[in-house]
Amino acid sequence: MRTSGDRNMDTSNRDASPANRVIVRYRLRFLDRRAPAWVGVIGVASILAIWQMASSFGFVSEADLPGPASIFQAAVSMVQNGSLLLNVEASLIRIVAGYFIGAISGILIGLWFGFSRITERVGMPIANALYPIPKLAIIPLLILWIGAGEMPKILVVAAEVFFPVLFNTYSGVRNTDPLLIRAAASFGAQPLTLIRQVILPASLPTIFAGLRIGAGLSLLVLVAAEMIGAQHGIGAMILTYSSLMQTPNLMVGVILLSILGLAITRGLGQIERWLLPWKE
Amino acid sequence: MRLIMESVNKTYRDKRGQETHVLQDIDLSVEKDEFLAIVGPSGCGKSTLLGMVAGLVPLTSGSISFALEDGQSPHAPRIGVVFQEHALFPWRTVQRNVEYGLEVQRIGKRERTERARTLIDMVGLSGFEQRYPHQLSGGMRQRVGIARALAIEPDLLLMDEPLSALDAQVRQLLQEELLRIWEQHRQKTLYVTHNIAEAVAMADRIVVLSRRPGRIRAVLTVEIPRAERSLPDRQTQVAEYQRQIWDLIRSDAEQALYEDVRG
Ligand SMILES: Nc1ncnc2c1ncn2[C@@H]1O[C@H](COP(=O)(O)OP(=O)(O)O)[C@@H](O)[C@H]1O
Ligand SMILES: [Mg+2]
Repeated sequence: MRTSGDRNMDTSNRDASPANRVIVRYRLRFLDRRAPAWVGVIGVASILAIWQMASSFGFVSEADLPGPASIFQAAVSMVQNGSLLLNVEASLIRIVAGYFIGAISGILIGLWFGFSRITERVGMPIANALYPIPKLAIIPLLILWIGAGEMPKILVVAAEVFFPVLFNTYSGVRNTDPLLIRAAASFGAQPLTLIRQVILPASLPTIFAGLRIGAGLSLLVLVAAEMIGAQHGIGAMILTYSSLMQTPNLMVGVILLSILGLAITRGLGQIERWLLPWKE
Repeated sequence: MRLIMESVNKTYRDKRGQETHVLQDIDLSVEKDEFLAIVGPSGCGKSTLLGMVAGLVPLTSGSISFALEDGQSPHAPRIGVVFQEHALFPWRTVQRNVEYGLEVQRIGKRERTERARTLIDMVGLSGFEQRYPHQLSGGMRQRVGIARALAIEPDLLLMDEPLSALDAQVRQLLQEELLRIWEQHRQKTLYVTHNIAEAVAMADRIVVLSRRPGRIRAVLTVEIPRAERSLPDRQTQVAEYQRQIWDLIRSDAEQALYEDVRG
């Protein structure tokens, strides 16, 4: 059905010449950052190609920055003689063990701080005082206490992960929407159920933010600890090859760290998507 | 079970020891199958009263109890609360939100699923079982809240301004829906609102509260059958009830407007 308003609109449109029309344009196109998926692959491939050419033609000396081809060769030979696997395994065990110990104790103690006023009063000042100590500084102390070996390295990673997880868990618990707690209580939920069914899920996003921060820090402190004193591990490997002036092998180590970091972030992201499907 | 409130008083004391007397000498009962509305200007203590009945706010003095009927064995009364801001668990789907109260009661999975389905169907949300609250509109969320409260087959249904956060059109529709659902369940209900028209449209009895300290100013019985309250030839009568209540709270509401109080 047409109204008279529609008709008026039509005539005015017909009368209007393009010259005296102002078209409304979409103003935010520059924010619609669209690009096909293959652009990424092509981009990375071209950068590798340029890099390779730079070293092949001698613009950059192989000793300073080896090209992708020689890095790849180095990696292949390290896989073949087994040293790569040995070092990656050593690092993986330390980071996984340390991360788990740090994350789980951080979550548990964070929950405890969040629920108990007394624990919070006593524990928070202690946590705040320990937090700023660079964790590497406690390695000598740990060695003194438990001797050299794997444990000090694992524990130093754990200590690094512990604090961000602790603080985030605590603030997640403290900031749980009181309305949701009331809703659960109105249905007769007992304290323990309420913690499990409401406070924990409500704190999960904040806890995960802590886990992410911890993941980055754990890699950092792991490599440093391995450089300070370890026979095997990616950090130790990088240090050895650097003193041998074997730059391609050294680069393999650096790239491994990047891959490891990416894998951890991806893994956490995946777990987060599983556990928090309700987040936008 | 009748709900009985006897000389209930509530005083909030803040950190500096400042006292606010919010409710004074509330004597009230909600009978079987009764829809009781509480109206009053914002800040008069309606939410506080409801919270005390739900066991979420401690009383300062007085008592709130349920009277057993003859031959009824004592059990903890089940109370279903519908909150103004829906209060759904964002990490639970519609289905699991509605099941929540049943889970707390340790009812088996099969029965839980079934009862939740029935309720979801009744509030018109079939097909949305697997959605999360953030994927729903305001009106839909509130329906889920209503279904969640009804799923436990409560002895008493408490609603704290369940329609106030919605826009006018959705509010009107949901009000009609709420009445339809209520007619099916006929559950003893305590309904809190600042909206006079809402109270007159829905309630059997209306308690008018005065401003701080909140006291019962009047109790009105709405004599028009619920089904006829929307009929054209009943409108003068409906308007008369509304005017009567408005006259009772007008001066209080005006004062509330000029004072800084929490809603
Ligand atoms: N937790 C609280 N602590 C202190 N004062 C409160 C608290 N909750 C409510 N009040 C005060 O009690 C009065 C009644 O609040 P409320 O029950 O929310 O009123 P209504 O729901 O009728 O708007 C208000 O003046 C409010 O400021
Ligand atoms: Mg209120």
